[in-house]
Amino acid sequence: MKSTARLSIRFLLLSLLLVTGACRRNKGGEGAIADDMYNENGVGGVNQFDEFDQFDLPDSRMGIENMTAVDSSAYAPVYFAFDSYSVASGENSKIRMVATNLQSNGGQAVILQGHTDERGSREYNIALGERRALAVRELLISMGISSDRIQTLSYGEELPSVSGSDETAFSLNRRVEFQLMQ
Amino acid sequence: MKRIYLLFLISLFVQTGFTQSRIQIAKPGSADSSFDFSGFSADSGAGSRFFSGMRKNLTLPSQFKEAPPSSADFRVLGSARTSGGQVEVTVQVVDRGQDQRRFGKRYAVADDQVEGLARLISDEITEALTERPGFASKRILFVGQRAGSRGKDVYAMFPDGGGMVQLTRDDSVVLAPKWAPDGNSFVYTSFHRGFPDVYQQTLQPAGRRVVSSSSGMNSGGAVSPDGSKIALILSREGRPELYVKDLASGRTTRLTRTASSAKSSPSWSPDGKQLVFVSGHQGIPNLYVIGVNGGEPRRITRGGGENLSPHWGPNGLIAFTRRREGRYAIAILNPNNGDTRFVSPGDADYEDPSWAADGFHLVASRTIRGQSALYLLDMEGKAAKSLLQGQGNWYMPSFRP
Repeated sequence: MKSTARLSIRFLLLSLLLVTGACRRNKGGEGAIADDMYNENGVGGVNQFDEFDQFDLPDSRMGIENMTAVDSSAYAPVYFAFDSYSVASGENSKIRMVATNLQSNGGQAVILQGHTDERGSREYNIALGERRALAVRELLISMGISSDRIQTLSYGEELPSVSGSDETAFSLNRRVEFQLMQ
Repeated sequence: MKRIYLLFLISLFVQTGFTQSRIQIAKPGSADSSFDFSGFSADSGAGSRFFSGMRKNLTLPSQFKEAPPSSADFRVLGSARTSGGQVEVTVQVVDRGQDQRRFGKRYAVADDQVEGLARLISDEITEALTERPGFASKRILFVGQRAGSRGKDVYAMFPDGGGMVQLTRDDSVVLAPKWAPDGNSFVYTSFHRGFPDVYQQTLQPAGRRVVSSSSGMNSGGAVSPDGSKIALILSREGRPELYVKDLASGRTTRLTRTASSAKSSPSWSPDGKQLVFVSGHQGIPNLYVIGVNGGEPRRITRGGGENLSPHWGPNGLIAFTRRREGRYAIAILNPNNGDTRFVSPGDADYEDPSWAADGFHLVASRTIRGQSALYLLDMEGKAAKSLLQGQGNWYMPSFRP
């Protein structure tokens, strides 16, 4: 549908991510939040965020739940900072490995499983985990993977990888896991 | 004692500036009252089941307690006995101070209806004495995970702990069951088909339908006060955003559009014209209010840590979870002036509040050492009473409106 025109800006994404990543690091404190929330419609400035919104999710789950899971243990989870969904640059190589695999296995698709640590409400954590999965999805798209081969699935805090309520457990639970399907 | 209470109320007004007239604070003179039950007689069978049920439900609200005959404000008189296959119940409530009858009724019910009658009479007495609806007959929905089980399901029970039923058989991740205003259906999020979808389940006749199952995340289902719309959080356009689905047309409209945030937990204002929701921006979830037709959301929480799980009550006040001093606590916010106060004790994490029909009590989950239970709170922070505890984890309650 509308995706052809939209996908043509794909190549812009990586540089945009770098720009926005830098912006986010520079922001701190609550004043910054009030300023840039709900203000991304380009009023008084370039709207770099709008580009991301071009990537609607597929109209359906494309029957991915009926595909067969492929052993994905070779693909390490992407980890996140507390309450953050920014992909740290050190994690990019993990995503690139998955992109490379998807490029050489045209029949495969991937489910990005987003997770959070146990802090925050269960409902908010579903949204936060989804946000993490969507951030990884955008990077996969920027690496040339078609958006209809990617589904996101957030479990929030419901399926911790590690039990425990210390920072070590928390940091291992804030993750996006890759589940390849075929 | 009542004079002290009145002073306490005045000091609350001064402290918090809760002077907006929509907000009903407990009426002085109709609150903090005590009952003497020694004038009530019951036989050993159904009669005693009625009596213990009435006694438990009448003293569940934090403003009521039991007292000896010499000091009680009200005497509960009457009897409950089995006669000719039925249970005959007579109840009177007499104000000792004014020597005046405040309540009097007679009933005859089948043996298996005495628990329900005890809740009904408790509500009628509460309403007669406080001019606010009681909540004894209002079922609480919640998520339950039985001990030893991995899966979760939606359950319901009455505040007195009776009438517990398991309403779903998903044995999966389920979240946030919320009553529809008519009390005959609820919406909730379930992963039982692998992905988070929103369902509406009807009690009579029993049935379930899919409300939303787009790609990505479907969650946050909340039915509007007039029953015509459902608020949702969907990620189908690439971001978790707030949507409203019109049930008659089936059309879904996006209300928010934010570059960088995670959103959750919409709750309708009592007039159905606005929604409060959570939006987190890299670390700090806050509460925002938006008109049902969209527009610019207005942030209503300031300072402090995380702000989560709002429930906009019938009294116009928003109960929510706020992180404070390393714990989650229940706070109440007046959206008109931003005044906020805490109502839960500091002994554990209290989360996910839901207002009772009286606009005075709340139910919330209390978690300590990984174990969650349901607790009754009130908006003055007077009481924290356990409603359901043990044999599993019980959380995310929704009080029937």
